[in-house]
Amino acid sequence: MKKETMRGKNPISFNLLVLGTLTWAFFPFFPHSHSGVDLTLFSQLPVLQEGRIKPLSTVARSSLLILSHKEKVSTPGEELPASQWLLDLVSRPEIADMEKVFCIDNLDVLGFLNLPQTAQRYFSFNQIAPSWDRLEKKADAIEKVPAKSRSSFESALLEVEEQMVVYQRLKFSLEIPDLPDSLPNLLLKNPRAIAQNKGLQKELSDILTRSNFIDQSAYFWAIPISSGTSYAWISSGKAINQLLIQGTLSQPLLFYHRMEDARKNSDPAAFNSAADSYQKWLKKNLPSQYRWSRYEEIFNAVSPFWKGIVLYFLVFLSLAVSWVIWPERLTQLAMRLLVVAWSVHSFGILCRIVIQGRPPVTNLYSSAVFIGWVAVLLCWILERKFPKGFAAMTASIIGFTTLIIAHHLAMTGDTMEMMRAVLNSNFWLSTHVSSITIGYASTFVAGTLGILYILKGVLTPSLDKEAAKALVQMTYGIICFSLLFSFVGTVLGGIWADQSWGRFWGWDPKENGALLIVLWNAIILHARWGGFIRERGFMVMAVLGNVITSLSWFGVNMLGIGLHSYGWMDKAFFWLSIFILSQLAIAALGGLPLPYWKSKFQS
Amino acid sequence: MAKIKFFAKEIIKLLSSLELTLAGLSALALLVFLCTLGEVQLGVYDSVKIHFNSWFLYSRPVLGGYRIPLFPAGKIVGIVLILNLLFAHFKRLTLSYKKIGLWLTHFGLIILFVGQFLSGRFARESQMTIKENSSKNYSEDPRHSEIDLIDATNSKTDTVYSIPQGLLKTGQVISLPNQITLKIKHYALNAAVDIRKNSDAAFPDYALIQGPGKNLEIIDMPLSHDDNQPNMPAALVQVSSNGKVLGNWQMSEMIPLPQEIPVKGKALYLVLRPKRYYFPFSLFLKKFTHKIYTGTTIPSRFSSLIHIDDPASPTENRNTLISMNHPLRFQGLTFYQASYAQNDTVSILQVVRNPSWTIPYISSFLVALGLIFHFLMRLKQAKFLS
Repeated sequence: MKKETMRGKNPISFNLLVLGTLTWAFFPFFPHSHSGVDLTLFSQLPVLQEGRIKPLSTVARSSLLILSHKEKVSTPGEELPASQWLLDLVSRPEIADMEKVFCIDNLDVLGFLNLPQTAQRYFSFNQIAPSWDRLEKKADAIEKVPAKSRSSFESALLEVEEQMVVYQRLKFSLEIPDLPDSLPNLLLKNPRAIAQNKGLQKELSDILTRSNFIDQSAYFWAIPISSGTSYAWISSGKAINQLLIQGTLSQPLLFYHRMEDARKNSDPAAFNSAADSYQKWLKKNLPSQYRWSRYEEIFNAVSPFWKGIVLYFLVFLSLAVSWVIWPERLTQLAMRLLVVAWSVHSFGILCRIVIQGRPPVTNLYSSAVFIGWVAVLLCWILERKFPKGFAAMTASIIGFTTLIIAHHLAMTGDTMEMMRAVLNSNFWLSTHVSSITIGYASTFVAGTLGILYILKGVLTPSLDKEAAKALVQMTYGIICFSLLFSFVGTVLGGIWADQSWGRFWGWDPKENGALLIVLWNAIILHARWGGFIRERGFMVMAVLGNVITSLSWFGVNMLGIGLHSYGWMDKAFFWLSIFILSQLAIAALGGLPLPYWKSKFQS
Repeated sequence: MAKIKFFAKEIIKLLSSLELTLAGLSALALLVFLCTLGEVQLGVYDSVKIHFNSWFLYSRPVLGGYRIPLFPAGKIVGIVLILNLLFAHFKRLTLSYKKIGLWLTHFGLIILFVGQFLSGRFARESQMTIKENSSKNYSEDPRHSEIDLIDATNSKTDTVYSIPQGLLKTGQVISLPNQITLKIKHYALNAAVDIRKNSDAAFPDYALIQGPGKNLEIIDMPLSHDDNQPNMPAALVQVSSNGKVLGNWQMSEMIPLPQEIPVKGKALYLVLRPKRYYFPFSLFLKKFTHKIYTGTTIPSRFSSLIHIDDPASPTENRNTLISMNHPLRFQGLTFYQASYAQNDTVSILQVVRNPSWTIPYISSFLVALGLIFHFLMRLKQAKFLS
């Protein structure tokens, strides 16, 4: 009864706080520029990159992540949004070349590039450019060494070389060589005049050489060109080629030309008008690409997963503080925030599904996002059944961690990549991959509940009989759930393999990893049913389930490409080892004889 | 008598015990883990052979090349788990409405195990490499080789006599039809081939080598465990006809061209090549398609447009499209789009004959059904209690 009245008495400030957070979570923060340029108009423009049509803001963010592992450029005065940086790079490269966007933290590589080996980790193109020839030569040599036997210096050096290539390809992607005013007119009206004029011919051949180069190096293709009923995408270089050789002018080329001229003359009004005209043209001629690109730009501006990280952290914080003061109010706040966090998390996943036209899990990045989402959902259901805050705590920990992991996985580029032929099947992606990932998520939930049980029991006197029972019951239910989904997922994988390669089971490391999770859950359940383990042993084994799941999720990927591969995998290997060691330590703590536990809940 | 009875009882008790289940499951989990690690060095095929297709995990050879069994491998663990499952059900678990989920699950698991055993025993994998606008009526097994004696005397059909890899050992003497006898002077499971540097080699057999293999030198290589670098066997054989030595022939799978054996009135050829499986029908590759996403090199789709040509039942002759995830099932064989070569003009199909391919589908359906049933039942019970 008392609880009911408490609930009714939530002060306005409490509700406003929740409402405010909700608004903040879903509010699209579009990038702004101080130069008077309407950055949103530019960010929304669709281009084709890696086989997918996406807004320039996605290209800007994903390539900046590759270069500097961040989504913004820090300059002494201000923080530049990714789109602003890309705009500078394509229209005023002399400014962009001074921005420190290359993240290099390998000291040997810094030495190789003659850069100061200090705490400074960010460098500009102009700082690296003097060593470019040497870098390229060395990288060519390294590429001949198999990835498995490269040293960390070699992999780091290769990474810098790849970053430089991405940077330069981006720079050329929108380049439009200066055309003498008369040339296009002559081409359209009187091509013969060029053939007769030797000077013009020389100029024409120079421009063609340049535009061919632009076509070959373009990082994205920006020009839609009419091909009968639909539009095909080509690079700006190719568009110039077509103009000069076939005399076909594509309107978008003109718009980009106007935008660049405006930038060179520092005329933001002219830039905005050109970008706006192009948007109108797109709306009329490519309505669907125009619309999708705008949607994706909104998704980017909301940054749901980044907001998710912040919110899950706040949930964790409120719950942790609630154990000290204001237990009721703070727990309530945490539960509301958890709902907000999960909604924005769901919004992000939904956007990805719609934009990509694929089920939620298509690669390692999206598996991390989806594991978090499933885990939080499961915990929310558990928390309704056992309202003790344990499940909510678990939700905040897993939600936060998986989104952080996803953030680090995004550093390899656009996370909505096209699916290779064998994976190009929505049916199997949605059934097999989703169930396996649900299996991962649930073992992590069980393992985290196990951690709470052990830490609370050993380190604090607060684990009473009732709380312990609730934790064990939750874990038990989740392990059953996990066994079901890992088994179904593994078998569906076998059936997929049977459909595509003619063998149900091929002992592929990833398959083995999934099988290990199934076996481990089966072992836990049989040991419990047979009475070989009691509550405590059960929880310790659940924690060890974390080790097995992390090995199967991440470990096997490292086996395939060797332990010393790309930079981030080196780091991932380090963190995986830390994680596994921590889980083993917690499991060992759980194995302490009961007299050493601070909680005396077991007789 | 009483002693035997007691003994049998104890054994049955052990075989039906949950302790054995746990030991078996743990051993299986450990084997899966070790096998996965082993795949890094040994490749999938050999690691699975060591960990699952054998009775024991052995130590490295000790005194006298003898290897000590260290741990039960897949065969033992599998058999123990199946026995345990069977005994446990007959001994401990009663067939009741409440236990029906467990029965379904475990019954499904037994079928799954048996199915995997059957497919390990009877499934056959091979590859068919077809060039565009040509046809093939056989597939090849890249893991096994054979020496074939081809009798092309009849102008319409060739007769092929195959010597399977098992018989190809140095020193082996094999009698073939047409009064041909082969004596295997040297057989290497993996060898490189090079142009012979000095013609007056110390090895006297070289002088007798006939045919195009005359100028080649076979260099023995260690076995490869890399799935991308298959082993390339090579052989030096002495051929006799009617007891008269015709000479030596040198062959390598790297150059699988038939070499002529000079026997009067016959057209005989000898070749060392991947083991072949002939079909009573042929497949004609009309077109291979390799589609990519615009502006990338990422493939979006591979497909082979095939015409089936079956002289026995012309009604079956038709066009069919094989693509990734959409295989062709025909006469007990399944053809999968596996790979491609030579600038997209050659399609490589994986050919699988697996009579037990439906078993995993049935068994896993049973297991999943059983698990769902059992857990829902437990959930219902828990609700009753609370």
